[in-house]
Amino acid sequence: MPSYRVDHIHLRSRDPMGTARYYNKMFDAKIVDSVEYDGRSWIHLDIDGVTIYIARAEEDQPSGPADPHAGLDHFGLNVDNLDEAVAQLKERGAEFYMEPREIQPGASIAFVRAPDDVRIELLERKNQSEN
Amino acid sequence: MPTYTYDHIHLRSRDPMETARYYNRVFDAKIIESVLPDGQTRIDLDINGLTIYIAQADENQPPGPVDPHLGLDHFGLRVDDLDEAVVQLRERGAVFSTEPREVRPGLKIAFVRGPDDVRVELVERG
Repeated sequence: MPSYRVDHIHLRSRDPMGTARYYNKMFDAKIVDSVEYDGRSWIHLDIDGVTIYIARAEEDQPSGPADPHAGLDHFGLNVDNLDEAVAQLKERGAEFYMEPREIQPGASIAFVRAPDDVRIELLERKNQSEN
Repeated sequence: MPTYTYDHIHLRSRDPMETARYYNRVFDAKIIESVLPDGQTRIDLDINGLTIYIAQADENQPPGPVDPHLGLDHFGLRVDDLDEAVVQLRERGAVFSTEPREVRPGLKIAFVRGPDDVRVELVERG
């Protein structure tokens, strides 16, 4: 009986190492490995045990959507203190797609615009059990 | 010092419950419905600890890209036996955008096309 669990999130970039350095600088993602295989190259990032692959985009591959759309829209990272995270991210040069705001009591979010218009949601939940 | 932990993958759909039923039927995802303070229903999926939110797509939000593109392209699910999974997925009506293939010794992949052209990679690591 097959069962499914998370393996990775997959990004494409014309500059995989530049993109990997961004995630390292902003979110302290670990650059685990840089792989060349069969004429393709990709980078393995680790954020808290979750694998993010960054593959080199082919010349004919188009840009992704810059704004919300149906389908796979974004991914989210949890932080303990959103204000503190936002201050540090701004110092590190992050661009915000949405400034921090409280969406319901105890839950605040913000969106960072990462390379290639990847939107990353940051979430702080003051009371985890209610969310 | 902020630290970042994985939280969720976020999908948008014109029919979140229909999309949730797809992931339930095909990948045995658990459907979690919760009522927000504003009275709206939020639909989340849990695939063995992986949280996926499915938000209602607004009328003016366009479809996502069908094919590989820059940025956030797809996500991957691990399986122990890809051949076995593919047989079951076909029985369940899944559509494959890439048939199973061995990328290199010890790594087999396939791609399923989910609702709204979300590409879900299946990965068997030997």
